[in-house]
Amino acid sequence: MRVTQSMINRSVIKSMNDSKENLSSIQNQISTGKKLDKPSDDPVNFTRSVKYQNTMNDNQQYIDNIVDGNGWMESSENIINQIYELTVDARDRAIQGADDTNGPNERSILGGEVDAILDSAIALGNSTYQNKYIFGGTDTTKDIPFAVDAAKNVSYQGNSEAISRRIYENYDMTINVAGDEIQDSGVFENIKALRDALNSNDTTAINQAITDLNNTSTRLLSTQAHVSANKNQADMTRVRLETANTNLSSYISQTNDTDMAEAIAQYGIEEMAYKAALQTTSTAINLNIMDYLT
Amino acid sequence: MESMSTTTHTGNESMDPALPDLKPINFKYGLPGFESLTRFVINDIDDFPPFQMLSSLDEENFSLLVLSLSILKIENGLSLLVDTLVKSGITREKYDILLVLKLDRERKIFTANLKAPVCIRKQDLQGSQIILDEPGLPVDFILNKV
Repeated sequence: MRVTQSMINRSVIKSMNDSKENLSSIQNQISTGKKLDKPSDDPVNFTRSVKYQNTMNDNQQYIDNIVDGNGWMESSENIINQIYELTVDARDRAIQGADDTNGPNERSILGGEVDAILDSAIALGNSTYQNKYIFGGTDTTKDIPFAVDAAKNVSYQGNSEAISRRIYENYDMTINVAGDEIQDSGVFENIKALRDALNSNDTTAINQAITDLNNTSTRLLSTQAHVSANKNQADMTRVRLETANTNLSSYISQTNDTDMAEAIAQYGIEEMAYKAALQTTSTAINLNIMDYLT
Repeated sequence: MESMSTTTHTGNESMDPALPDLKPINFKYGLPGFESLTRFVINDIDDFPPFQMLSSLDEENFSLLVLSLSILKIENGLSLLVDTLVKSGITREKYDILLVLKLDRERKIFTANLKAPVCIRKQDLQGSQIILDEPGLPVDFILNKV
């Protein structure tokens, strides 16, 4: 069969158009980023992808809850630690005051220092996080949790309710320490008792305050450790959720999304094919009389 | 990735009669997010030599895109990963270590989860995705060039 120039032209133009069409289709995949647009494209994978996407969304919500809860727990942990340090300071004053070399004047001076420590402890008890009282239970915005009268008697005005965040499916974590737990540690009562003992030069009461403040310190440390353990657990849960989402994303990018690596790789191949077709066309169409003579 | 050709590399279970009948890689606790999937094989991707697929034998067409730590230059964040693994008793002599990749579509780059590498004990093909207790390891380590 005789191959005419017009047949060559038609052939190369068809080849070029085929390549162009293919390239356009792949470019469309890349620009939309979706391989599955509707259930009928691939019902099994579509259903599975939707399910996993929902799981990812749920996981992200849990992660957000953990981040929020961790902020609250970190603040609680930090404040409790500062209150603990104050009890240690108060106990140090008590040990000094119990020393027989000190007289009423020295003890009165120490009593003044302990009074300042008590003020600091109360102020810390009324700390806020994001404009909410940390130790008010669920009563976080109305009154200060720890009210104080002229004699520095401290009363708790919040409630004992837990603030919780859902950090995993069917699992809620308590993120707060209600103020009654701080109050029950005896921190305010025992610091005040030490102050009064120092001011009244009562060494027996001072020695009792040392024992009581030791007990308070132990309870505060225990509360702090509990918060810390919860925070660590939340952190580990967050990393596990992030890992799950990375895995889910890795899977989804290969089914629901057009896998970019694949698309780009194909794009490269198709682009080369298109360029090759263009080159052939150019060669074919540019033939002139001289090409036949040579 | 169905249009890309793959070849079974590790843990083949008679998927291809021409290949030796190796046991699959067993993940006793599955993978985070896919706890019910416990048996996997690793497939090379012919068109993309550094990349591999961790493919489930329990669920059809289920794969994760992974990259072997062995082909990467150990520096920066990867040094911390290797050090942390060694502290946990996981050495590259005894384990194949894979990084799960995720595509960041906005930036068109791959990121690797260094916080939770997939570790496969070479001796008995037991696998686990281990979450490392090292705050400096990111879940989205940027992997620009392989």
